[in-house]
Amino acid sequence: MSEREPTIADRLSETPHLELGKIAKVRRRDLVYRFLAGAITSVGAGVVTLVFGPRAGGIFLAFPAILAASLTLIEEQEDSVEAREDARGAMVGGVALAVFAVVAALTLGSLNAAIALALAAFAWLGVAVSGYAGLWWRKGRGS
Amino acid sequence: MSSSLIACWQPRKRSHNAVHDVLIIVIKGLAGGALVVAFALLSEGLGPKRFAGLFSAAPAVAIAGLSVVVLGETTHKAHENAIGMIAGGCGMVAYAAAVVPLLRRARAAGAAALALVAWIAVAAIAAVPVLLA
Repeated sequence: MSEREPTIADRLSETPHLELGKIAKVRRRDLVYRFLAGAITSVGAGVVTLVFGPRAGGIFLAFPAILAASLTLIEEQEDSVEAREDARGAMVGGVALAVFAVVAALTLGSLNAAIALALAAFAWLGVAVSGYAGLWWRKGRGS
Repeated sequence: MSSSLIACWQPRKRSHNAVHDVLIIVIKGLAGGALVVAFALLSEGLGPKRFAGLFSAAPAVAIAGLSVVVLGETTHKAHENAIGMIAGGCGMVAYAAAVVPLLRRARAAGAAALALVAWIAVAAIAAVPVLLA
């Protein structure tokens, strides 16, 4: 358990990567927690939609239950430094989530619904990855 | 005659609507949970942690919820949900910004719970124009 905060140099030298081996090691219990966090948030948003209307219910589509569950599990398995790193990434992810909502609000109803949701998802991914690259990754590659 | 027919028909329609509503909520719960697990698995395989954090704020619940609404209800309702989600998205940015310093001072469970105050405050402020528009 290392509690050393990564330095700016550490952060800039890290290149995003995917390790499939780490996915295979994920504990079933952690996935159950996350499933429950997602399911409860979804049911909550659905109930608020029924009671108070679809706009009020929509607010809860961006409820941070999943982030909260992730932070708790990361601290348990690794340390609070890693949990803070995850939360810093989630700040950019949160901006991208708001962009997802804006694009969905602008396109649902005027475009085919599948295309509208795909556009919103691409906008989320584009903002998230370019935000990360602009803030933390590109600089480390010499610019 | 026609009024007695309506009297018989309306409760049945109401119970049919209630069953439909419950079914939609159950499907939303299952789809939301499944998509969150999918994003969580992807996030677990990604590094560094800061990059994986992008996926901790992924619109998993939103994609599942909006897809179920589009398929089982109306596009108009999904559009209204998406407008409301803008306020929640503003709250999510505030939540993530608040939880970073809180994680220095408290355990993750406490910090995550306390940061909800930031989400509620910002989402509530952003919800005023969203709900009134």
